[in-house]
Amino acid sequence: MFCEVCGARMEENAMFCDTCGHRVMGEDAPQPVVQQQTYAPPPPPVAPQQQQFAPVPPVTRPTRKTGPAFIEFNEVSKQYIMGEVKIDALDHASFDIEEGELCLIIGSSGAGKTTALNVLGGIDSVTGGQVQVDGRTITSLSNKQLIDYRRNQVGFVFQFYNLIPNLTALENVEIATQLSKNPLKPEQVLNMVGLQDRMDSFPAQLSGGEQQRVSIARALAKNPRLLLCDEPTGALDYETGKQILQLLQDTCRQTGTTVVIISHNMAFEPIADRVVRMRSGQVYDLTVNPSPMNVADLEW
Amino acid sequence: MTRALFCDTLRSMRRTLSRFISIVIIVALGVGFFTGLRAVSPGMRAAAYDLFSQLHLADIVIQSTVGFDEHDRLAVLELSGVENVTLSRFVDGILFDPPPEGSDDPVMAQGMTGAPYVMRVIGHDFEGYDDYNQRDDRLNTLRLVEGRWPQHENEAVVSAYANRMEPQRFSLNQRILVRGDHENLLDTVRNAPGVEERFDGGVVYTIVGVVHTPEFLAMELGASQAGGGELSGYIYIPNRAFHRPYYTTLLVGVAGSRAFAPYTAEYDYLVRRVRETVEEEAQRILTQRTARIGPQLQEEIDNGRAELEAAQEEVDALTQALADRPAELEERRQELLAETSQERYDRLMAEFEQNLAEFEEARERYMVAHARVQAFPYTREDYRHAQNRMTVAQESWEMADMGIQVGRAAIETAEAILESGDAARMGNAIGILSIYFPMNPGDANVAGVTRMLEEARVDMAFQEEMLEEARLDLERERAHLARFGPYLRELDAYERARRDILEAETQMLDAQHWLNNADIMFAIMQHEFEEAERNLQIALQEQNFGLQRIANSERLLRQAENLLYTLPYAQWMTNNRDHFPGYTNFGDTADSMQQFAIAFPILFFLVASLVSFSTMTRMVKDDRKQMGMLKAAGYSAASISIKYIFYAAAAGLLGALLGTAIGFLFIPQAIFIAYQILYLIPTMPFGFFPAEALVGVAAALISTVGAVLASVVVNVRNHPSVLMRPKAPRAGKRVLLERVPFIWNHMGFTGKVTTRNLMRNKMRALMTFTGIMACTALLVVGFGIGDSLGTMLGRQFGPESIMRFDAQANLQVPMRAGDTAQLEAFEAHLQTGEITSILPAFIQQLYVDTQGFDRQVPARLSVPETTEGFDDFVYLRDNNTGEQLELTDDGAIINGKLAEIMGVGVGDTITLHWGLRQAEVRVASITYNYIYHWVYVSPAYFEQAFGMACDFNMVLLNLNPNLRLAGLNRGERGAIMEERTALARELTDTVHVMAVAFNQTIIDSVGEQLSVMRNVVMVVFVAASGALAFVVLYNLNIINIYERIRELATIKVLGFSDKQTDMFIYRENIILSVLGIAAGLALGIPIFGYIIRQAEIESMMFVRTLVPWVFIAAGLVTLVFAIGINVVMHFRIKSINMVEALKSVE
Repeated sequence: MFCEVCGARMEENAMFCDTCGHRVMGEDAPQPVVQQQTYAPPPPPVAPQQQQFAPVPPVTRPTRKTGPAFIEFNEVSKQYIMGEVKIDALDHASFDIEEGELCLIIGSSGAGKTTALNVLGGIDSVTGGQVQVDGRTITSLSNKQLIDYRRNQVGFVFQFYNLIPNLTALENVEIATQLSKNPLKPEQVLNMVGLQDRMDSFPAQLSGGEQQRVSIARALAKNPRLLLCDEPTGALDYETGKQILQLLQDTCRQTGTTVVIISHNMAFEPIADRVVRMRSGQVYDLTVNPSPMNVADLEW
Repeated sequence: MTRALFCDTLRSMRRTLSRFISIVIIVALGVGFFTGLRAVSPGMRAAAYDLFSQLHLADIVIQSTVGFDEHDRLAVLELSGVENVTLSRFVDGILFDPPPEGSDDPVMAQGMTGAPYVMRVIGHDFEGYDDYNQRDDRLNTLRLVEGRWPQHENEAVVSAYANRMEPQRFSLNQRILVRGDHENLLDTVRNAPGVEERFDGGVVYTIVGVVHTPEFLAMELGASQAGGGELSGYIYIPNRAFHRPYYTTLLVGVAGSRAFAPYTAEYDYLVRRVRETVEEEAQRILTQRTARIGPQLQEEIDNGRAELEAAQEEVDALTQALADRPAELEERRQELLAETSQERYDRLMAEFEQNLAEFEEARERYMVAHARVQAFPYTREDYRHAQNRMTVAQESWEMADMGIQVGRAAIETAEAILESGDAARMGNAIGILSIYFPMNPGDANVAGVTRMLEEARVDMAFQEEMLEEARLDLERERAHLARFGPYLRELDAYERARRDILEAETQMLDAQHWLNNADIMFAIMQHEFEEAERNLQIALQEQNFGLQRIANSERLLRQAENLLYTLPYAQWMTNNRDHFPGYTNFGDTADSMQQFAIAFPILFFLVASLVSFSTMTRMVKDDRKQMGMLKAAGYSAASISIKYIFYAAAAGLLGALLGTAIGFLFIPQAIFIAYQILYLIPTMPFGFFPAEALVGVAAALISTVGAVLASVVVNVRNHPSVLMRPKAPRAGKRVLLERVPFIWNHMGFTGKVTTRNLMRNKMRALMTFTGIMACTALLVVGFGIGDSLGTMLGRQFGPESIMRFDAQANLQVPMRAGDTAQLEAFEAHLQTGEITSILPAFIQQLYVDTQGFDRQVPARLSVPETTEGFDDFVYLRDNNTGEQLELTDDGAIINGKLAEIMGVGVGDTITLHWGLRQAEVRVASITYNYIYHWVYVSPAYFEQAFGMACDFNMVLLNLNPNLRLAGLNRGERGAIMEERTALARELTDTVHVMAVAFNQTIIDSVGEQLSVMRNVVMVVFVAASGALAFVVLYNLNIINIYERIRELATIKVLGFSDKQTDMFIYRENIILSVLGIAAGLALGIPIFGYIIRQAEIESMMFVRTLVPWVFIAAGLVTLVFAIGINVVMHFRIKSINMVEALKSVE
């Protein structure tokens, strides 16, 4: 079985291409149940009614800003070798993110955005280039330092929540605070995400949105400087997705946490302080939005 | 099954090859262990059967106190049920290695226990060995493995077993020396013609072949009268080398016995009937034998005495002759020393000088004398002349004088006649006168006479004148001679001086000669002295040799006397094959293997099925979606299931076949090879046991196919849509523990997760728990058996144990109660303190049965002469309470195992069978005991039970603690061993004591075997439990990790360190391991109790209690296994790729 997008070999029954992240849509391809139930087809691209920012001509390789940014992605490459074929998941991708920003990385499947996020989160390695977070070159950290980095600097929010099924909501948050140096109070964080009443429920007893909120709470409770969200609304319906986005934007605004969100949904662009657009492993556009829209006002 | 489905099945096998193989392996392990272990016991019996029937192992062995001859053989051959009878004989000696290069002294070889290497030299009939038919009527034949058969008296074959155990000891063409222990081996065997006796009394043998024998199966070869009492090795030599007219053993073959396998009830029954016949006839045949040999013996003794006396006289004479020799020699030596010294030389010189001086002096004296003699004017000639003249003068005077005398007489006679006038006589007067006077005779008348008278008178006057002249002449000559007086004196002095000087000269020359040749003289004297010394040595050696000869013949004489003395008490010892070392133990070993083969493989099977069950269930679970799809496509539940059934059946069958093959091929052989350390059974035939194989295959299929059916049926019944939806992850659930906030709130998350996980995956937790428990239980059993085997001897023999005495002495003739005469042999040693105490006892092998018990159990009856102080020798404790037991007059004390076998308790009655005698005895108490069965009876009770007084055939000895060997290593033992051996020898040299056996000998030899067994058992159990733990834990952990891979990846992303991530999985393992170990320790106790009873051989009770170290070791080893698995898992967990794991969703 081969990926329809990038042509890479895939495991039988796999739902995603390992290389480009393309989701298999073929007739006989297994359809994730969750997807069937909650996936809303992306709306047709809407022409921006209010031009809030001038369209910038596409730049394949944006030049680096002067002065150190909070996050610096510097000519980062990630190459997989599958047999004889070399696949570039990241191909000299470069971008910066300032501290306290809500950054959106936009791109279609296989554009390399998840890989970029994984590298940023310290769970994937690179084959070229450097990534600096707050002056630290995380691409050259040892395994032990990476664990420490993940533990104290980064909060991860997954598309499929990845809660520990055997722990209650509260405990799922506590599992993170237990590790962190200066965590927030788990109850307080759950309050923040509006789950004060479901604290003692097990993940299986929660809805998708609630689970994702627990997941966000788990990430936030560590009081991270960087919150990474991989398609946080991907498995959620519109309303729930919007609530989650609101939560993330509020978090960014209120706590000053740098939030990086991955999405293939370009409709989210207006809410971000900064938008990184990716294609084929390359950053082809980077937009800074001086006055981002409130999520509540966003429609898609 | 459609073609597509078939393809899918094959492909899924290929794709999940590792899973398929793992099932095959697990099944193969289970089946292999099962079939393999089941095959061991029958295989061992078959191996024994092969060997015994091919080499005609005797069924009954008879030994006699008076030996056997051909008459006995024929007598026994006539008994009913006896097929053939073979006479056999041997002599025991001490093994030496021939002297090394440049030495004359052979080197004494040491056995494995450090004692002298006691070698049994067995006479064997090698005739006709190339012809199978001729061998058929003989018993205990040999099979040549290497080399050739012996051809003359100094060639021997050695056992392949000895050759294997001690390859450096015996090799082909090697020469060994066997010497008698305090006897001359040549008294019993002879050298080949032309071979000279060397190394006084030893015989040199050349090993020409290596053989298999059926009669020595075990490493422990039994007792010997020689050396340390324990037989170390044996060789076979041609029968004709033995020149004594009797045999030591009678081997009996029972008709039809070869049809039955050994160790079976049928065989035992058959042999026992014939043995009873033999025992009944024993006395009759014995009486004939004693009648035959009695006079012979007497004659032998008389001759021997005479010879001995003669030899003694000879030696006495020699001794006497030699008595002064050393003193003489010493004197001579002193002399020699004096004679050859400088002082002596000086003395010689002085002597010479003195002689010279004396000579000079003599010469001076001589010169003076000579001068004096010379000074006279005449010579010796003159003196002689004068002497002659004087002699002539003397003679002239004497002649004249005589003429005058005669003439006067004639005149007077004629005058008388004339006066008388007798005319007749005138003629006479004329005759007389005419004779004496030269004149013409006158007429025979007066006138004539008168005239003649006248004339005669004139003549007479003339003659007187002449006489006077002669007298003057004589006087003149005498005066002349007298003048020579002084001269003669001087001459005399001169002669003396001459003699003196000659003598002085000789002496002087002599002294000069000595002086001149002193060196040579000294050398000659030295040589002469040495010669004398050598002669003395030779004479002394001769004397010594003579003394040895005397000692030897004295011993032979004493032996003959003893034999004659015991002739009236002669008896036969009849044994069945139990007599052959190792025979019984081998059977018991096969039996205990049978027991292991039941308990052990079942455990493995259980685990194999559990593991294959969980794996197959997992597989079905993974395929849910596909099953749903197929079902949606219209396949029936049955045809969908067939794939999994086929898969499982294929794995199960393959595993079972592999397991059966491995099991039958390797396991019996492997265990057999291990047992070959203990037993000499050359080969084990390959055995295929269809029943076991079938059970194995069936069980394999049940555990694989059954597992698949169970999970497929549950799944395939569901609606396709349900199947196609992933099974909802099992919801987290609250556990009971959460209701106890005090504990719950103090637990970390891993703890909480672990606790909930344990509850969530109850099945898996249970399996892990079971696996660990089984592993620990196995180890408890294994270590328990090991400890049991290791400590058994120490509990049976030695201080603080049951058999506390150090040695036992067999008396030549049983001793009456109170008869102390036979104990005098021990007196001296009691005095010196070598022996601290003695106790006569009656110890007899007999058989025990009871009402309603279908066979007789061999046991030993022990009757001490006095029950007082018996506990210094044998300490009896109650089997239940552990309290000390006193031997009373109201019943017997029997050991627990015997009571258990026969199902009797205190107050019950058992029957003792001693030869043809029987006695009913009441069981008064039951005692602890580990080795053999014992029935202890007081002498009074013995008399009451058997109706006869008890005679004591043994004396139990307690030795001085300095003579005990326990706890000493080989080096420290050396000197003590010698002392003990000397003690035993001194005792056996007396007329009363036949043999002395030390308990330490038993402890050493049995201990060695037990430690081999212990090591085998421990290794097997540790390996088995390790395999078990690994298979179970590895599989379950792999499944666990596989199922929770997302969870693990998530927490890794959250920043869990490797260690924390590990703990996420480990915690569960650790808890389960700890619980499993605890349960296993508990479970091990009853299993051990069961197995130890099953593993026991009938004549032993193993130590049935577990000691703390067993539990500690079992727990620790299990923990080590669990930790080992966790280490493997650590790498597995570490290699989880977070990115990959988080990508997909289920």
